[in-house]
Amino acid sequence: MAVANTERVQKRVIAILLAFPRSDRYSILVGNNGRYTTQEVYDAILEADAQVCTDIIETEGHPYGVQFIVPSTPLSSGSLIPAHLGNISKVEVAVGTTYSGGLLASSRSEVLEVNAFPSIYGTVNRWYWIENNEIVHTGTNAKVYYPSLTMTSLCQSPEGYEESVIAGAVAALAKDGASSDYYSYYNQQFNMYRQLIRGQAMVLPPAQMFEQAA
Amino acid sequence: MTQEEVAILVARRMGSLVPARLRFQALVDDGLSRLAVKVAQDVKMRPYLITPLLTTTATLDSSGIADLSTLVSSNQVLIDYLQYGQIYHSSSAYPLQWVGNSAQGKLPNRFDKMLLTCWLVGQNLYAKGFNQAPLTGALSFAVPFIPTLAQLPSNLSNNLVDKVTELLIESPKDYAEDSAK
Repeated sequence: MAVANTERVQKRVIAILLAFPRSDRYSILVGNNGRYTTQEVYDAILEADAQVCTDIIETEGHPYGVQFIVPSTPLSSGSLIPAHLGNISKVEVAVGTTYSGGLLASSRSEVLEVNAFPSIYGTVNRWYWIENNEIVHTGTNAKVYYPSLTMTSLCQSPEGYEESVIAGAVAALAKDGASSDYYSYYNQQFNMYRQLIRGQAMVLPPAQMFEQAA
Repeated sequence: MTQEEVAILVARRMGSLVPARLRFQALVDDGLSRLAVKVAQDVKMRPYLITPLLTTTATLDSSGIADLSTLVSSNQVLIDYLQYGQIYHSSSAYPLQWVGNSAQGKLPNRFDKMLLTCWLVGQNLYAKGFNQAPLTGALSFAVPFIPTLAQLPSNLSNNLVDKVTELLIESPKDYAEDSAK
């Protein structure tokens, strides 16, 4: 998936802020002025980008969310799930060394009971339960797929959301004494974009809500 | 069938969703026990669950007594339905004849020359040879037993699902009634 072009975003932000050098009106470098530095603009862009990515991640079922999903290391039953943003995408439970889709049990107690009394339940594979960031399961190991965002030196938002990164970066560069109308405009733009991004949600109640009722 | 597959079929019958299956799975062994009793009681179904003669054996001691506790615990022989099967000794082509109790067993009768006899006291099987002589050696059993899932004939799979479903729809009252008996 194409992501926002960091260089292009930087040029656009510097142009909007009128911070380009006189010699080049569309530059990735800030000109000689006392108001902004190139590094500051660059950092603001990455922060705005991270905000857009977080919006995607936190929106359940967002079509762009898949690019942030990573598997955990193999987790034994009773392990804590590593810290992450957003909702868990899926759980795979291993029988031996082969991972396949986990089956949601009815409660944590049930899974613990199954593990404690194998002679009653017989061979029980692939069941799991997650509660308070702890996973308990009946397999040999489990992998939890969850969204993860690590800021890098480049933008990670989808290309289609590039304009929101630009608006967010400009809004983030507001300084004391600046024209509040100017920065408010971009702040509003950014928030509008964020609402649109979050509006991509496919609003579905978690499957657990139905399964637990059984 | 596996325990999991039985639970899936029960869940389908009950219209239950996936998580309920674990609960059903725990009842499969109980279902097997109930099915074994039902089969033992039904003369037409009985042949499905009879122990193989070659591998189901017990040894008589010098007094003609065989301790069946290992057959009960390891081979899952239904000791209360032993009389619905056949017990053989190498000295006769005919199965041992059951007598009601030890008093009857010890009394001479007119078939002593022809038949071997046996009776049960607790989990001990007493056997008498021809002319009331104590019987020794190995006995082979073709008797009703509780199967494992692997031993269950596929013809009885559906009956097992019936039994597990039956266990699930029993109410606590049913159990109270049993204990009153």
